[in-house]
Amino acid sequence: MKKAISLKFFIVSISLLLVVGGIGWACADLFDADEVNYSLFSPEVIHNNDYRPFFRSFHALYQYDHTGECGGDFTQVNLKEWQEFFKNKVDTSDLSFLVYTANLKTLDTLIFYFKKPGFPISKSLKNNSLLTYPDKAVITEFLYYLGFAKRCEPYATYVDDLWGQGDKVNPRSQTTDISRLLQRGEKAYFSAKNDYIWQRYVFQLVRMYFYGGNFDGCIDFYHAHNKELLQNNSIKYRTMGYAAGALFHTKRYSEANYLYSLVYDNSPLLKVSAYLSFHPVEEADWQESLKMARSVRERNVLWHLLGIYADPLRAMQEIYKTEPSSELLDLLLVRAVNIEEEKFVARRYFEGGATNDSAVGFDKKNINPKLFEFIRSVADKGNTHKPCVWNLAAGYFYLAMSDYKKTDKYLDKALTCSKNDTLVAKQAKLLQVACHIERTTKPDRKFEEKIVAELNWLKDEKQPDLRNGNAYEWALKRLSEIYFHNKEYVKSECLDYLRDLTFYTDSVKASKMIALMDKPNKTEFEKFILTCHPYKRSDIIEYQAVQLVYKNKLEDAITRFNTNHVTGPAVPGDPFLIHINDCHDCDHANPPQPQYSKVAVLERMVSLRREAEGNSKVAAMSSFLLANAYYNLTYFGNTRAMYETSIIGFSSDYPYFDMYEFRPAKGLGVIFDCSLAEKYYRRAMELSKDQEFKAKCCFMAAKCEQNKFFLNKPKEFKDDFRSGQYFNMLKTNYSKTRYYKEIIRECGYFRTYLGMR
Amino acid sequence: MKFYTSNRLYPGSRKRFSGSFLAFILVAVLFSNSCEKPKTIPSFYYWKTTFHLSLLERDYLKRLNVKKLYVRLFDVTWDKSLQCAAPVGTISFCDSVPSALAPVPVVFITNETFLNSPPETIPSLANHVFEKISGICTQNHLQYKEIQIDCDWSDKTQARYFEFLRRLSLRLSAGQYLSATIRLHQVKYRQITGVPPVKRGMLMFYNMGKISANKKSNSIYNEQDAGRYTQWIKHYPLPLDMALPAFSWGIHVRDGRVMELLNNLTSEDFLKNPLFGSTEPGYFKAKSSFFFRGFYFMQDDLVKIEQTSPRLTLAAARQLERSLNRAVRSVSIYHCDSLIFTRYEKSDFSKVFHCFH
Repeated sequence: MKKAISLKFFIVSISLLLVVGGIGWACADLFDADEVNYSLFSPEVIHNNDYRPFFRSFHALYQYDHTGECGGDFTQVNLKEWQEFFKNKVDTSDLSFLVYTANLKTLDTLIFYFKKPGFPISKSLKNNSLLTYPDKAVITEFLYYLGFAKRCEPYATYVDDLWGQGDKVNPRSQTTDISRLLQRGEKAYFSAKNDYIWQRYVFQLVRMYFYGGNFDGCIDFYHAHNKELLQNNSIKYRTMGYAAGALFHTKRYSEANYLYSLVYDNSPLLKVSAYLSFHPVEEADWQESLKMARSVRERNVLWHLLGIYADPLRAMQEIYKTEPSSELLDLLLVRAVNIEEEKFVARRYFEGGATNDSAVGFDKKNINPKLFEFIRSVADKGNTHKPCVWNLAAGYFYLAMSDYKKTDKYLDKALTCSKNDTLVAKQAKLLQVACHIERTTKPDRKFEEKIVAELNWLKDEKQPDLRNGNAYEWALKRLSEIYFHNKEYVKSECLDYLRDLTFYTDSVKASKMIALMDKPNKTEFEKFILTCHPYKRSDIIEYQAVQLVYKNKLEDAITRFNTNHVTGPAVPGDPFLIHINDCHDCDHANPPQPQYSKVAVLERMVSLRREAEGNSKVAAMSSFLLANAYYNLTYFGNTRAMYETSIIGFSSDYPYFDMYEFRPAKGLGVIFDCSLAEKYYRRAMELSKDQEFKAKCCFMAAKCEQNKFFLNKPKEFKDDFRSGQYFNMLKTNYSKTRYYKEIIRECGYFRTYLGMR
Repeated sequence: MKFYTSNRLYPGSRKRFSGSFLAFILVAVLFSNSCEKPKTIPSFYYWKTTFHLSLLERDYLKRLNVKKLYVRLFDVTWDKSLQCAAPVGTISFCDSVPSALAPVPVVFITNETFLNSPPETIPSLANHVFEKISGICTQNHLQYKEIQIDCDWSDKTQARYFEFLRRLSLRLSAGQYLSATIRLHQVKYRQITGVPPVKRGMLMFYNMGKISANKKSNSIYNEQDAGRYTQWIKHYPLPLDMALPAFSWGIHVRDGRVMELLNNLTSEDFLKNPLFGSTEPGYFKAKSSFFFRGFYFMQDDLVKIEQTSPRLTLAAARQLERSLNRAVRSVSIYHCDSLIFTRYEKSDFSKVFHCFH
């Protein structure tokens, strides 16, 4: 009799109802939630670990180890019960050997030993303390029972080959063997004299009927003998569980769910399985289950299960009517609060996308008024098992409703009654901090002096299970909203740098941020908010310099870089190099030596711009090189590094299409503009008399023209490209050049344009 | 390859159905009666856990001259307790597949399976899936030339899923091939999600909108949402078969939020239950809190029934047809079900199939 395998039948009954997925389901994102928690309220305040798996979670169970035994590991419980059976006169290790290790032959040897004194047995068996137990008849009955249980074991512990491809034979399909075993078991059951052993035979037989697929037999046998399951031990509820599984299989849902509720309430090891199996189908069968309840407790456990399963408010109301002090209410209350806060604590505080105009943090319109009223009234009566938790909940709801006086009242009550309960006390404090923030419409210096200590507490508190991390995140974003609302944009930006992606495009705001950073005597609050902000002074100045680059104010950009006493990191590749086909990786693999710093690129561009002013051959070449640099500085070129700064972000941070789709963000729009490159290619082409060089310039101008077209492509345009003036110019003026042939070889669009494919 | 011997364009004139509806039917009928090879292979999906064809279903399949039946054999999901991929919901056959239909075994694999499966387990997963398909097909005398895998893969699972497909392909005999379902977002963002290494794709031309409580939207099919994707279909590098919707589901809404999808429940089911009131066609409101068909409804919960109509399925077909290159392809209806057939005449499906001629 190995340790009990997980009660698969519990789960089986649910999986039968699962809807197959796939073709019918294309919008998977709706159901693909990770365990992301936006809660400010710890359900652990009820201090009941038995209920922990049933706390609100995006998964079926809360922080539950799915690799463990869902049906519970009965090894220890089973051994303890056998020890009690033997009045603690047999060692646990000896019992463990007999129950879990000894084979049938060993058990037979022992039976012979007791039947025929002098029958030879091994030394180790002789030392087994079972042999010293005074009642030999009980020992023999125990050994016979163990023999039967071990014969049943392969049927109960069989785990189907997942993919059904092994050589394993499913013993549960061997109906003749099962029938024979059942007959043998029933015979042994009738001849057993001890109630305890009797009960174990009932368990084995109910389980064998179940695994043999004879659900009616299972139910009948259970009903015929359940009165014998008098001892309130683990076997009683394991037997009941199999009977409930058989009832569910035969669609007798009301009785099945009733039995599951009994298992849930009485067997800690089977609580999770019983809950997962509880599944009313129609209202009539649910009502029938309620009628089966033989006591207020049984009825309330059914309601409690319904509360976890579907409707905590209705369940709490029903339970409260008959037993206000029931601990069954505790779990339902924290579940109800956690479910409700999913509606009133806005996700924007955790997922970004905060709005700029929100004056109120909690979405009070989403609060269920009936639930709110129920929690308030019960908290006021104070006649529950955990009045502190009801006060916490009421305080939280009043906070969400923006009634701060009442919030104070209930949180104070919670604090008073928390006594030595640090989690409850800290939960109350957390909500008080939230209330402090929420009631502030115009933050002043006094507010800042106080809130900075509270924020540091939220950040650093180590109380297990307290959701202070969430509260800290919420608090920063909420404060950012409040400061934004008060037009204190620098503080708002510090507290939530993702709120306003255009903040640094505004030079006034950027200067104010630098001024705050440079301020000599910062307040504690100012110091704190600057630690929340990810950008340094140098990041802002580099960003400003980059903005000047893309406004074509190259000299100003150099000056700005120099303010920062940096030349910018080296850029990969050669910004003055160009090819027919853009190939960033090729260019980055062969950088010039030494590599250009950002400032060095700009300095050479300034110099080239000067040289490009004349009419000479040098001016033509300088125009060409300058055009290459302008081109490479855009999104299409090999020097994206010029605009990649910590404030703008790096292309490795997000796929290129995101950058494309969100290009208005953070002033990125200009990086797609190739018009300066086109201007200088055109100029180089016009200044030069070299046909080969002119062809090259013309083709590069065509690339600029194409990029412009791509970015403004009409929706209805479905083809890959559209030829423009430069393709035409190439064909008309430069078809005799070597470069023209090179273009044909390398550029598919041009071949298409020429009708060559 | 009985049905895919040629990818040449069908040598008939392309009919645009701009004339009257009657004219369209006439053209379609004439077209189907001609001696020329049809371009469309009429097909259906069979997506239930027990294979049993009712008389009505048999009649529809026969009279519509359906050639292929895509039969879901099992799903593969990630088993959290065992920490491995596991088959669930294996079909059981109470009936044989009619001999006129070429069965295509389909296996749905959750994206989560590939998210969790370590790369080194992918070859054995492919072997397991193949062996299980073979086992079911041998046992039920199903001879197949095509296996279809249905998975809503993402950029994160692309490498593992594609490796799985490659490994699975290696197990196929000569003359057999692999196809995969393609969702519209995978067509639009193929640079990101990649193109699966299979011979053909089955484009699911439905479920393109967000499932929502919004009264105006239909998440199964609406022309506007579909229009955001159609321009990319023609450029998809795989030959594509087409799947079109003919099904219904309920959307369970509480406080404006979608709670769950109610499969296999129709307007009639809710109309018959006095605990629901109907505010307008297709919308039901729970008068109290109660269980119904295994779902729990709270007082004031809403149920929005979304269903396709013959007109909607035809509209989807017409919109899709305009976005396609001409080729021989399966046009498959999701799904074969007596309940659906009570709302569709056979001629409704004929019109859909003929759209693609």
